[in-house]
Amino acid sequence: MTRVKIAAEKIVKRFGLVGDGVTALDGLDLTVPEGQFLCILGPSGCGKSTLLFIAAGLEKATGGAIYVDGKLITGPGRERGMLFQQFALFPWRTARQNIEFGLEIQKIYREERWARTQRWLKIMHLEEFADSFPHQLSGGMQQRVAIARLLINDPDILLMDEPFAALDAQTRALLGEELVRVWQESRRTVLFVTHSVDEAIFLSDRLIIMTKRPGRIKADLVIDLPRPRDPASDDFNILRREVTRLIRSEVSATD
Amino acid sequence: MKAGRRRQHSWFRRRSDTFTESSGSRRQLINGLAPFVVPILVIATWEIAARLGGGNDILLPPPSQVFVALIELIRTGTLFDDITASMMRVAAGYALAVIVAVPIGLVMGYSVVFDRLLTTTVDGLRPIPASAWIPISIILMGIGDRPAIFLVFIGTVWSVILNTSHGVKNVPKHLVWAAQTMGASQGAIFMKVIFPASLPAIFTGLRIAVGIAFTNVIVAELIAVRSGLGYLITEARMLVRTDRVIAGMVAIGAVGFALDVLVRFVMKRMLRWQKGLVTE
Repeated sequence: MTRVKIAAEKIVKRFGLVGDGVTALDGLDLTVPEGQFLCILGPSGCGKSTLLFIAAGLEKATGGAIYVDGKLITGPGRERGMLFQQFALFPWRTARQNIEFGLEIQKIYREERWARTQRWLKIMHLEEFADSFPHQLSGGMQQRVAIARLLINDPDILLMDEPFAALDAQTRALLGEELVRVWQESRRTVLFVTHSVDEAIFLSDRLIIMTKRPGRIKADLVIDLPRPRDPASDDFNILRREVTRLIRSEVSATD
Repeated sequence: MKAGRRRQHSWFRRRSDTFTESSGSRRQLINGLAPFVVPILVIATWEIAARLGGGNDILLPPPSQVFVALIELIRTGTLFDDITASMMRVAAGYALAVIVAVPIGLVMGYSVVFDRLLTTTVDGLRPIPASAWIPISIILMGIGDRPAIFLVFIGTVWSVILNTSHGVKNVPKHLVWAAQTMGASQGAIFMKVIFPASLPAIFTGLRIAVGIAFTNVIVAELIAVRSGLGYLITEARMLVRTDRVIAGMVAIGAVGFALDVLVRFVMKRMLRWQKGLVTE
């Protein structure tokens, strides 16, 4: 058993006033071993993105704590990189300038910055678009830039908030495959929030299904299909049916 | 006012279409000439009315006489001197306002404490029209360049402050978050994210301010200075040279128009990454 990378203990998140607000997360416990690709699946508004933002240190939990490598998280840090659904590219920077942002922050010399950026432009098939501004790129291209901008910093943990949700199905599948390829080389710990059952099964080692608000863990599944995975295979289908059933029962549950 | 601008914009566009597409279409020719129809009609009517009216040149000189007066102003160099004087004041007051207002706006947008500290002062002074500052500025600074520069400053400073702070407050949260998760410090986030992300809003403020600056320098020169385009028309009135008054107004309109075109050109250049977002 590999060591624990992320440990979330009794995470509570409430928005708004006490008694009048919304409880997004209600005492969530979760441990993620190093190198695991964990997908979090759940109905809208179940707090799965909130969990990610708390792990990133961008939002404060109302209660509980998250530890990374045994250290309490109090704010954002470079070792926990994040990918956003809205891509969050800097519109005044070209693709190249976006990708090298993190290196600039680390005050890395121009020559090295150029070389490393060039490498990531190549990996993400962006060489032709290096000098384009984000608005000149398609959604898929923009998210490629964002992925390169994230991975060039070599973070220990990748936090991904529905990063492919705004893309068409084709692009989505393609980027998913590329993400797996890159991940397999580096084996970083990944927390990947998604709405898509197929995406979750395709990507993850482990799949967590959350209850609707207030969010708790409803099911915790190990996905041990051999990679690369074939979404048309029988094993994939069996899992798809099982996961879909679990999600359905949660969405339609009344209380 | 916004709708008016937008319409003007589409006129330009249509006119340029008539140049690019193959000519010959009558409709396109009419479209191309349409913007000039009303001015030509007005000027023609005015000329005829002034001539038929028995030649009271003092009350209403015909456009031809105004044109002659304008040529005279250009030939003698008076007009050039006055434009220079006005523009120097605009430049001085405007530069002063930018230097003061951009930092204040940035700080107000960035820090809740500073926002609360300054907001009553800004909101309290802002409604006072620049023209209402004229008496006090003459009392304090006398007649000359200084009250005019001050008036340009006081007229422009608010729009730059407000637009800047508005821009900072509306920087998309995700951009800041992205920078934070890449290890950016507060200072780096300010310089590399918040400031560039606010530039479109800052430039909107700067653009509005150019128009205000020009208006205010003319107003100041009507009263508080003895040179410049504003003084040109006041002086002409005192000399009962109505043709020169109108010629001066034409010159003021032309300079104001040129200034606006220039500003729009510069802004477009500087914010190319903004796509079509800063055309208003």
